[in-house]
Amino acid sequence: MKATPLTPVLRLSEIEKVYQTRDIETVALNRVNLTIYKGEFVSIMGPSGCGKSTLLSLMGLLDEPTSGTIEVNSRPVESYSDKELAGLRNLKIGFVFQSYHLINDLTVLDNVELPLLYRPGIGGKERRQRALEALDKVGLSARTGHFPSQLSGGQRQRVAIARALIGRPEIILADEPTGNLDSVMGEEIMALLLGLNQQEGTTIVMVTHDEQQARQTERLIRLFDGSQVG
Amino acid sequence: MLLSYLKIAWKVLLRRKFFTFISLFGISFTLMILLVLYAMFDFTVGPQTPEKRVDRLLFINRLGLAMPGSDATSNPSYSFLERYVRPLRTPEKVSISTAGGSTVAYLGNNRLDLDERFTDAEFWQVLDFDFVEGRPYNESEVRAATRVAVINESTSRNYFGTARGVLGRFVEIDGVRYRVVGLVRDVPATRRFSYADVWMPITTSAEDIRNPDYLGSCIAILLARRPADIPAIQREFAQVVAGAPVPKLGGMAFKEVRVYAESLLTATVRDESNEHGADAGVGRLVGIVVGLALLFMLLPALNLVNINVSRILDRSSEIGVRKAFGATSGTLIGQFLIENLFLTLLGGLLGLAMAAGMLHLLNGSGLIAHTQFGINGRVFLGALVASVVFGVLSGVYPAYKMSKLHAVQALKGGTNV
Amino acid sequence: MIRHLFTLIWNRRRANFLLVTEILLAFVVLFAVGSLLVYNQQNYRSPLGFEYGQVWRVTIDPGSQPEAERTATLQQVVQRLQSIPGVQYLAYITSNTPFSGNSSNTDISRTKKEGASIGVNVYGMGDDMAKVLGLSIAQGRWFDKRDDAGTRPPILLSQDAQEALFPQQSAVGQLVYNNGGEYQVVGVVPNFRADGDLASPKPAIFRRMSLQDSSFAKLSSFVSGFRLLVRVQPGAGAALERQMNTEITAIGKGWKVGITPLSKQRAAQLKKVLTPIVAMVLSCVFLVVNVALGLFGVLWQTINQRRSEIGLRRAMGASAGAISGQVVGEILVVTTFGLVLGLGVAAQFPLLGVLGVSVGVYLTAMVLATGLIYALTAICALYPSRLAAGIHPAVALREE
Repeated sequence: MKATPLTPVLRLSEIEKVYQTRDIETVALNRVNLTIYKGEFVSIMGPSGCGKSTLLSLMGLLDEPTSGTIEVNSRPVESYSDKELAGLRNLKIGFVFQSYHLINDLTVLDNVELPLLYRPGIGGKERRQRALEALDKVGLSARTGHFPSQLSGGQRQRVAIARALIGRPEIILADEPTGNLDSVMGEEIMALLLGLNQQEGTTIVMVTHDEQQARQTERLIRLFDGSQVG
Repeated sequence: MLLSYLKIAWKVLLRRKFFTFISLFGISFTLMILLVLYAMFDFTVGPQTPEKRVDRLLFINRLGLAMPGSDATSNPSYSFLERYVRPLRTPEKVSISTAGGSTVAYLGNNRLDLDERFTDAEFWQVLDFDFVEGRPYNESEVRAATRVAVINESTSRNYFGTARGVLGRFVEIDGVRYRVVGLVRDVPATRRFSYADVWMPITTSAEDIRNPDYLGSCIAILLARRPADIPAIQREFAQVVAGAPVPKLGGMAFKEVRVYAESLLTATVRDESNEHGADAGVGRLVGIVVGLALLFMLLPALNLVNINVSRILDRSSEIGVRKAFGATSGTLIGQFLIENLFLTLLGGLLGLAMAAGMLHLLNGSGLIAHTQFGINGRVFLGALVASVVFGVLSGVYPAYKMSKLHAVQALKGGTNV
Repeated sequence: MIRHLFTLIWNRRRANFLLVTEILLAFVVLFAVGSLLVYNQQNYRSPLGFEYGQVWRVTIDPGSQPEAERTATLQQVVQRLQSIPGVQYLAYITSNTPFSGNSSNTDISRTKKEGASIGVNVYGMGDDMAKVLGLSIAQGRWFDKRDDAGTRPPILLSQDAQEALFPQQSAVGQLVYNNGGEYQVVGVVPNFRADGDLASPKPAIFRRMSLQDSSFAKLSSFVSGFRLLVRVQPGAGAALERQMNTEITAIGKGWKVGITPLSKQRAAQLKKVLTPIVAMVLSCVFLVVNVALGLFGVLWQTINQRRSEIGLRRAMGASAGAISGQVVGEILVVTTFGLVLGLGVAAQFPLLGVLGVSVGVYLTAMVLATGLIYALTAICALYPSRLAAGIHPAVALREE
């Protein structure tokens, strides 16, 4: 079995996120404290508009908190430049989105290779090799030449997961990965994620609406109106 | 990386055929017009037959007598060139010829308009004509005022009805019979210092070669030993001119003789503009032309910018994903610029093909006599440069805008750009 | 509704900035080319003032013949030419022959002193030129033998020169001054436009040219030879031309002769002037088509992106007509912003009067360009607006 989760991958302390429009101030997150350890599978739940997605984009370094600190490998990231943040995203984080966000004009293989394009020192051959490996892991090695439009929803999400895996990130952030899928396909994807977590030891944080899926994970965080409730 | 960008660019082009059409239409037509103009420019002053060694040639085609408030400008006279240009030591060869004129030959009751030029024997050594048959006339023929002529293929066809085997036959020009000794390929009328239909020894012309006036109707063409000698020749000639006495003309007390040995471009511009300054206004002209070309590109570029910007939303998901997986703004700008350059280069290629067709039409229309406009290496290079300038001009702003798209919003899909 | 659209566009001025700039530029281009066309068309429509149909120009270059002998030979030549059956009339003329592109300018005034002088084209012409060119005489008479005895050299004015110098009075018999010389006006002819069909009208004066004049031979060495205009019989062709050529060179040994029909010169001049104009118009057409396509593309794209918004409007009860009206209305408002700026730029030309073109030309061009741009944008918006109107509310909402 796997090792005791003790090494922190991501630590969020006293995170606040406020959206400021001309008249209204919306508090999306309110003093959230959260640590993700290596090898964990954490799910985040809560009703619509509770700040789940905001939290995930903060963890993915796509957005900056209004106050509070985010630490990656015990190092705060607020001082990083745009360029350094891009580098961190590339190395440490893999994303899976509800609506897949595959690039329609690229083949499955090219889509999966994409993260490695932004990593210097990796040649075309190695990229290809690793993309094939990743596709193999998600069970799609027969579809490398297809375009996303030729795939079913579940298959597209597997491609997206392969894309998240290829960079060997320390953590995969999945934003409602089964939200657009029917229950059969949703279970397939969930099984895939669980497998990755248990067999490969991949750290996963998943936002979900599905109580059943959430119960399959090790830890469940509940958000309500921007605050942590569980 | 580059390959992946190009792949994306290609896919985007294919997927949005209508937008590709709009973009390519604008780019290719803009570049076609610029290329046609550039090709005409190159075929007027570039290294082409007969001025193949244009980097070694200097031309003296205008002479001005100036005093405050008044001046007289014309071609220099034969005697001036003979006295002040022929003896120059730095050039390898000096040729003196008439500035060109037109005459009429009658064939039965048909009239044939001919452009004539009287030259010395050096004319054929300084310039490189393509002889189809025969030879140029030589020094002894010029000295003896032998009535011999070199004609071009068109004249041969129009006069004799054949473009071959006319050596030894006679053409009658201004009531004088000349024996044809050489047949050359047509020279375009844009080559204003060498072009003619008939070339004849300058000693057989009505030109008064003993008239001591400075103003006349001749030109001189100088051949340097190597391109680097050009400034030295110009210096030597300037010294000679400074030492030449200023003549009187019609009781006017002129103070200065202005005459320059200059490149084909400057001489051509001076021939048109009649400017007195040392550079004949070439600098200003180049500035104006470049400015106009940029201005001309501005509208199609703006058009392309507009289309690109309005299509950013189409690709917001792609931009978001790339950002999420670690692309920096810089890489994204690079990607979209390359995509746009790819498009403009494609348009440039299309424009090049269209320009070739257009020039072919121009040649066929006979708008300018004997033109053989076409695409050569320099025009191709011009197309490349223009495409890149156009691509950058129209790509920078949309690329910047795309790269600034907020990743979180881009991934959500709907955002106000 | 219109106010609503204006505020909408104004609030989105940053997003519409590029479109406005593009329309502004397109307007300026159309205005410039339009002015050029209107200007040339106006010139083309005003009468030339002479008949060129059966007239040939003869240029004679005496080459190296001594100046003193030239006039005598020329006199022989003229007599010989007049005896040829196909030749009706002939007369001397200065080098600024019709359609030649040569011009000769001077200033004339009513007083000896510098002052109210006007710039004119000056022509030297022989006594038979009125017949050669079929000039009608508005007042007074053309040059004739009577002028041999006159105390002052005679001069004729064109109608516009007369109007400028002697408004509302007869010029015949009056004195005019040119370069210190004193001339007596003997007649007035209608406006004379030998500069060409597309050249702007310019006042003209005519001086008498005769072989008795001492400056005649001298003139020939300055402008490389003599020029004659010859009216030939209708139908005369190359045979007559060749005959004239042989006759002249038979008398003037070593003379060089060029004979060109004025109609041919006119065609050559028109070709030379029209070629750049046609090239410019073609480039302009291309630019406009380009802008139109671009506009169409942007609108189409916008409609596609706003499908859900439009569907929502439809669901809330907006009619198809209202939707398409809004799309067309929006683009017309954007166009108006561009046009207002463009008109501001264009108005500088008549205000500063830099190019010496009448205000009417600019105004016509402005109206034309404005109309064309509005028409163009409306046409470009038509299809996208119908596309928008055709969006089904349910489809649009489902896409959300």
